[in-house]
Amino acid sequence: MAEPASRPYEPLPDPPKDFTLHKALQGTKTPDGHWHVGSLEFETTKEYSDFRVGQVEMAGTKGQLATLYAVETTGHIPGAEPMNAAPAGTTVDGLLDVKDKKPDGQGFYHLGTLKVHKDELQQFADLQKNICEKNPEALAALYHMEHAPDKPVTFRVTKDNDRDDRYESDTNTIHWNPHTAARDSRNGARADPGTAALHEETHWANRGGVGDTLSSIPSKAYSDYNERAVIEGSEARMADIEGHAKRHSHHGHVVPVRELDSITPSLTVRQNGVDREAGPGFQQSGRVIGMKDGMVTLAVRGDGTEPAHRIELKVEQLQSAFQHDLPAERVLLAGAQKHGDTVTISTSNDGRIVYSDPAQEKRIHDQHQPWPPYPKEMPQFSGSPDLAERPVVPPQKADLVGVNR
Amino acid sequence: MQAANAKPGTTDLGARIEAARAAAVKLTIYHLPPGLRTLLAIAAGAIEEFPGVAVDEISDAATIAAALDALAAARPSPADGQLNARYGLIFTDAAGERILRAYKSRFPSEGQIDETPCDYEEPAFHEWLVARYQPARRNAQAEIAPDEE
Repeated sequence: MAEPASRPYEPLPDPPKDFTLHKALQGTKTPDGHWHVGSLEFETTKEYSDFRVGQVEMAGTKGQLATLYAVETTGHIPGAEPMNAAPAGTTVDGLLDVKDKKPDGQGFYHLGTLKVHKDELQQFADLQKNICEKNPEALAALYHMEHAPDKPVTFRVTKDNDRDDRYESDTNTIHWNPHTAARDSRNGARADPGTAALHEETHWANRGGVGDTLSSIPSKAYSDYNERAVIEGSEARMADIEGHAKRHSHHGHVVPVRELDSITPSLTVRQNGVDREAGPGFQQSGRVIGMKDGMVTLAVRGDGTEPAHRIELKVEQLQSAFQHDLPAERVLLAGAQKHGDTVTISTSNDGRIVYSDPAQEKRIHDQHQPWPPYPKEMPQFSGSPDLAERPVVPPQKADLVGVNR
Repeated sequence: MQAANAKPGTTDLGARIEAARAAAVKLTIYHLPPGLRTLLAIAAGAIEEFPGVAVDEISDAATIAAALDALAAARPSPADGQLNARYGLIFTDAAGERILRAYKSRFPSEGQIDETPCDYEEPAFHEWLVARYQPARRNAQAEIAPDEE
């Protein structure tokens, strides 16, 4: 019996008849040089121009105007919302059941419209049980992949030397590596293998008018709006469930999971000469005023009633982190995330988070509330004689670059 | 001629392109399908090894010259930003040395020359690549009036 078709997302409503492509491309320039097209924002005229060129090149693609209308008028990115839930009573075990099935001539099991190779079935099943049990959206994705006669999908578990998780729309194939994670180069957030699988499955679900149109809208941080929809949508919701920080860009590094775990540092806080482990609930924001020998020193702003003070954070295994070419501040963030905590590190006088790329630095600055002016004189720090003797000088960016190799 | 003396590492991207003209005897174009979605953006240096990348080996002098013409006409200028590469063009000389590398994302202006992120100020390079690898795409520039910018 043929499987009934399912739909990951409801189709977008038709836009008003007077919403033409010409109208959809009209932008407004602000004094700071940014362009706004409804709720879309482009940092430069070049980026706005790229948006226009991309839309004209694909003119006529199904769903294009509906997608543009939704993005421009609602501020909501279609494809970022949760998929339609799987029917009541759907279980991951039921969806993975192959006891009455045999692989085809190429060795693939057919789970409805989803193909999984027999040699990869166990890893695929382990993945799906893991993510579906904690996230109903993952169960929905699995259900929809098995009930999609209009776009049957193949899920491949890749070999160790293929480190790039991806969705190929030409062949409708998801490639997933269980041994690698993604690390955001902007805020250090990670996308674990389970999150990565849901990321690619969401791309599959978005494929069509919405996904194609979003892919043609540039976004400096996210590459394009298709990636933004997935990273801010299903991936962010998975990060909430996992208790991890959310990625805020599409840029970063592939990190082997084994190494990622092995370099996660413990975090020791030394305040007034007393060391304590940063356990659950630890949260500290501050300006980095030193980073040496595994010790990060932050200047912590006062709250208006208490003066600013300094705090030291000792990052264990920092040398190990360096060996893996990870900047120290990101390792620190990783340690905090491991414990389910958050650490904010700033270095410059106006409160920017320091990264190696000036463009990233500017964006992060734009996204954060500025810090109050840096105090000219820090109050006496009694807990650490060594530190007290050190002049309180906000570090230059080059200082941190040197520390970070 | 000043341009002919330019070496990789100069900030004059146009000079680097002109310097490549005299010596380039081979062009290798790496390109990825437009429908590819990835967990992470593809850095310029990673495109050559990316799974499934298509490779065009070109030794025809006219095609190499046309590619350099398009690249020069695009007037690349250094810019901030990170690339999600979809095209990588490697120009090599008779000794097999890489003398120029040019990259581009799926968008017209986002690129990189050697290690320098850049904006392509004109669409010439984009149009050359689209005509070669995505001929079904419409000529967008012809349909956008300049006064709308």
